[in-house]
Amino acid sequence: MPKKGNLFIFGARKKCNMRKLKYQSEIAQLIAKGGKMPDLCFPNNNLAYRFVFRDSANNHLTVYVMQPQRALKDKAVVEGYALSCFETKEAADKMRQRLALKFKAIGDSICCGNLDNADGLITEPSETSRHFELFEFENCDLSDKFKIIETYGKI
Amino acid sequence: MEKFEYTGKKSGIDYQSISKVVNLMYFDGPLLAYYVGKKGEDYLLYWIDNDELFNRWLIFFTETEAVYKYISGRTTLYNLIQRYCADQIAVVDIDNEIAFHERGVIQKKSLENKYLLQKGSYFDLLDIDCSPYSEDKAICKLSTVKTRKKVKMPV
Repeated sequence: MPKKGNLFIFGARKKCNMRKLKYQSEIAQLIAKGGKMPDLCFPNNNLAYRFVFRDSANNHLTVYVMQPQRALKDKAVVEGYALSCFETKEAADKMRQRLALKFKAIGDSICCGNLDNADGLITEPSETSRHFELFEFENCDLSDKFKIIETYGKI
Repeated sequence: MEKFEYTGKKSGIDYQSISKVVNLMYFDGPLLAYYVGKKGEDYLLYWIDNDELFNRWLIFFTETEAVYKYISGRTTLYNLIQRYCADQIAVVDIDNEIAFHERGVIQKKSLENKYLLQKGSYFDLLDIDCSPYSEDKAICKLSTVKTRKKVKMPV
């Protein structure tokens, strides 16, 4: 995963001439209401793993875009417009074990793909879960490059 | 979604006034959460299913001490529900606008085991590691929560 020295601050987008995020306007609205953007960096062609549904044409939708969104009375956060990823398959498998019986919420398969710097910006992976968020650039389409590598099926 | 055999009674929960204390399981949205009512009632919100329009939740009446026992690793989620939650459970569908629609009240004995996780399901910090909310990750602060008065369960 990329070094911290490559961090981008959202507010410096104009100076950096950074590409537009897919949900730029929605994120900007949340920031205007007090939301905070996490520190981001380029993925630098690293592999990423995601939970998906094998029979769905609507994988790779963010929390606030998928319908119906699975939300309660939490305040809206910018991460709702990012995609959950894992650094390794082992990390994804471990999380899947913890979320046993919730496969209908998170997915019945795992897919893998290479994230390059044209796809978007990512958060620093969690040391505990190796989970990170991908904030897609506006033309990013993970369905073209992410392929299912294992189907979990029902538990 | 699966149909339940409802008791015909209402839960009496004031959905407008319940507020979040902490998410206890989170991945691309909450899966298990601890909420309180304005009169000190304690609720566990437990995701079980979804379709194109709704996410379905079970809402358990519980006790502060029981939730703390679960978070501190002294009881499993299975035991928390079986021993420390009231017999009546509200079945609620939440739509994309986060409106709560109570479908009815069921009795705990009518729950199938598939909803109650494995019997050895202790809380793990991995359960909320993917949460973007700092308050979820500061879950240890719940140890300072004072005991609330027990609320009479709906008849």
